[in-house]
Amino acid sequence: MKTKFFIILFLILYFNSTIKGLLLIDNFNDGDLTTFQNKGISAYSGGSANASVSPDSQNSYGNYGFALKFTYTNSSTPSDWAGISIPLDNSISYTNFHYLSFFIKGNLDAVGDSIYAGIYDGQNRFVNISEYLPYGITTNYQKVVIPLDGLSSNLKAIQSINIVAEGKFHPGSGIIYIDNITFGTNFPGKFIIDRFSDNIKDNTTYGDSSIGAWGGSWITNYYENQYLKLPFIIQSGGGAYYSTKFGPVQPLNFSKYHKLNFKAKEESNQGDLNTIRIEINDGSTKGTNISSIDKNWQNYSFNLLGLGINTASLNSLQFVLYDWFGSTNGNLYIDEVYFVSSNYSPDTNSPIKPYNIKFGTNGLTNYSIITNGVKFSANCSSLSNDISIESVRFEYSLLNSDKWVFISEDFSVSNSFYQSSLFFPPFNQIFLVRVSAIDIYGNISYSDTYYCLSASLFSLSKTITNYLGGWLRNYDFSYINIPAYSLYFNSFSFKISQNYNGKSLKDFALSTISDIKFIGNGIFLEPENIVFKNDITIQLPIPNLPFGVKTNDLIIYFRDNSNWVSLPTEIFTDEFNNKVLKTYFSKSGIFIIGTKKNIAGENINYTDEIQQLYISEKFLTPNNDGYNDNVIIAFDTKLKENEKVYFKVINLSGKLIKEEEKNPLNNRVIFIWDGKDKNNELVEPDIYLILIKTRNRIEKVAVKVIK
Amino acid sequence: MKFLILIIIIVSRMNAFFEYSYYSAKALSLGNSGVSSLLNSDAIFYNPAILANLSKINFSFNYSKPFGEIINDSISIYNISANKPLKRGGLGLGFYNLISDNYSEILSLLGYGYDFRNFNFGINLKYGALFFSNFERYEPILNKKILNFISFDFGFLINLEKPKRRIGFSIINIISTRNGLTDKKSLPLKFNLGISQNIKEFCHLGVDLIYSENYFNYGIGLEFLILKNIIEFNFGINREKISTGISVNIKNFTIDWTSCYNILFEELNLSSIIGIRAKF
Repeated sequence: MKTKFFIILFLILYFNSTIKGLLLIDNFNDGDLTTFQNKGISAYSGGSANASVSPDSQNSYGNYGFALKFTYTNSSTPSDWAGISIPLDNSISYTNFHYLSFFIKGNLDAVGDSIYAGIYDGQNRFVNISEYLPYGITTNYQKVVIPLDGLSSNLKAIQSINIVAEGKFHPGSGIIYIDNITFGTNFPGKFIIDRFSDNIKDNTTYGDSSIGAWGGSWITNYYENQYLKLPFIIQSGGGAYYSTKFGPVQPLNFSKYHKLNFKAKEESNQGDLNTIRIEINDGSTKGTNISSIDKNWQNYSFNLLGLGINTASLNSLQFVLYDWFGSTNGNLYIDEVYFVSSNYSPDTNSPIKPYNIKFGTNGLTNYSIITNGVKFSANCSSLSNDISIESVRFEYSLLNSDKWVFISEDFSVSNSFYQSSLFFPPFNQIFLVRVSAIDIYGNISYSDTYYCLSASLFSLSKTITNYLGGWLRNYDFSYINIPAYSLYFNSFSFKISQNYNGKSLKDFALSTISDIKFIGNGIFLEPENIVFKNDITIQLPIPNLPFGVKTNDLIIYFRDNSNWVSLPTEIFTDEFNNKVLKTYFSKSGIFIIGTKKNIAGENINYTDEIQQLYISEKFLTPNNDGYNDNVIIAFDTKLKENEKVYFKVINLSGKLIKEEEKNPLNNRVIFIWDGKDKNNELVEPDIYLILIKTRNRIEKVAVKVIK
Repeated sequence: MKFLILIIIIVSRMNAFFEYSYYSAKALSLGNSGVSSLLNSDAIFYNPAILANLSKINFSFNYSKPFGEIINDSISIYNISANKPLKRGGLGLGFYNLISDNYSEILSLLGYGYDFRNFNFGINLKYGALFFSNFERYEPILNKKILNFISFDFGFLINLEKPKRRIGFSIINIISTRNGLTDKKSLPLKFNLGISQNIKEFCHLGVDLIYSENYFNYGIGLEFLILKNIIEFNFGINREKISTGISVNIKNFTIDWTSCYNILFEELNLSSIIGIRAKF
């Protein structure tokens, strides 16, 4: 009995100790300098340097929301430094986290500068970011993963994340963009001491390096071409060393790592070095000898535990050169010095591409019809033993657009199932959906891309009596360029009524509301189903309405679980001369503008060959502005997939403009006309007929083209 | 002269034109051959020189739904024409209108034919437009919703006595100017050549050749007059349609009814057009 108890207790403790997780500090998409931990980000500088920090909507990772923009100027004074500090909530324990990651890019001025990032745990613990990126900081976003094991042994005392541009070696100025700052519980397994890619003498732990010689010997050091070059003259019985300290404050705890790896080669002008000793100081100096170094680059690896080194308390690393039998001179080259754990197996593979993509409970296929308010989900996993997927991103793109628009990103660590936030598709358009899995090293796998059709009225007609929002215009899901809005909280005499200018909406909300988001043609007061003491007033501005929809047809709906409930709605003109819909309700959740009935779409029941015929628009304006550039005709059919459906576009003079044959796919036929004739030239403004012919049926659709 | 100025003012305030070329129930029943064989006021749409051949005042009204039932729209076309004989020729007026949901096309014509004995010369002044209504809600960027144009037609007609034969020629859309929306392209030129002849006293043949923008068409029509010209049976064919029609003459009035089958697009099925004419 006792044994079982201890086994269970052990298992509980074991799994508790190996909990995987991510902590997103901020993705800056709310456009302010307050983190998700409600801490303010600030800039600071020393010497004559200048630093500033601001949200930036033009350079965000994934082109969604904002990034953090860090602008700095360092003069040639070595003591100059400029940085930003991201305070952390110290009520949270960070001891389970093993890495800090974020996406970073810089402008051309910043690319060559020394940018350090790390944490403050009572001491500044930095790594040089350039050393953790294969090509250093570039003008394109890269993901940097900074191991915390070795950087700090006091994560309980962590107070902030700091990013610093130092003028010590590279005085200058630049702009750095940072996005998606995250702590993760996966153990990266590798700590880089120096890759020499920054061509400076400090190693990546911010530790200084030095050289020395005795017995008439001589050594010097060059940092160029992204490796360490040590020209030497070693006299018989003499020696020389290159030493690099771990961190600005010693010792550092590298107990998670078990091996020291580096690569080296020797270039001798006279004789050969017969001994190079690798020494590590853990309070006393311990090491091992290499009898000779190859003339070509060769990898070397030493088991630290085998050398009896106390890896929890390391001060420095030394390469010591001896020649016992005569004098020698030449060059020793060293590169890629790093610690790794014994089971280090870098995940160089991209994750398995996301699959089994669904919207709601339906599997996503080409030309799925997406209605109002769906959540996408996908399965994806990493190929590595670790659960190393850091996030799964859901995006869509309009047809003929090269821009992918962010839907949401799931940072949960499941290694299996990921889900988007509620998605409201652009109205009456073909759009593409894809899902991407991003692991902790920034490897990305993209799912297949699916063409989808947004036709809210069309499908909702099957389930509800009143049609809901037939014209869900998309506001780019951005917190900018949003029209005037109003929220009134009666019980608190609280009122917002202004054009929104990039401030965080959550700042204005009641304390019980964690966030307010704009979704399609409505708002989402999160979390759902908070019951207010008194009704709140919801006011939604009326955007441009599609043809056939009149202001009086509009009504505000509230999403009550899976049902949409119409709310008593008033229409009035506000102080900004905007036409506004107004309703009162006692709960938080999703409020959107819809229509009282089906007046904006075509929804006609026919026989089995053509069912639910859908026509996107009567007008076609092929000017690539994203509006009405295509006419979409879609219908469900019970025709077999090998049966042809013919589409012919003719003008009223009887001239054939274009014809296409389509086969049903998944019991659906889709025809898209882009206003071009069979020679791929745009047709004249006119009225055109699209003739649809199935096995036994013929239908005619009229389309007006305007250029 | 005052009458002419008044007509010009009225017409210039109208807007009009369109490529649809089946203006007359009578002409359609004859394969749309109207360049030389159509002897009523609808001739203004085909060849203004015929106006000089009309010795009486004619009035004509035609109506059709040429494409039958359309799922998302309703397209109907009507046109009205009239003429007034003058001392050496004739004046004509034409109006054509296509109506559909949120869209219409209008064409107005002012024509004049002059009689040089056996040779008639005619000219039309045309002003037309396309209208898109409620369009700005669909396309906020594009705020122009009218396309205007002014154009001219030119035609002549040779009347031969032995054998009794007419040869007509017309050019449609000469010197057309166009503005509105974003497209500045001119309207397409259209060339029509027609010949008509009485084969028998009760049988009349008309043949047209049409060319426009690399597209050739033809029209052949046979007209049979029976029961002392009270009833006319018409048969016609062109590259696009096979048609048949009947015209009933009752005193000064004529009722035309034509049904046609679309050769090129069976999907269009049968369509019909009805016309009423009066002659004073």
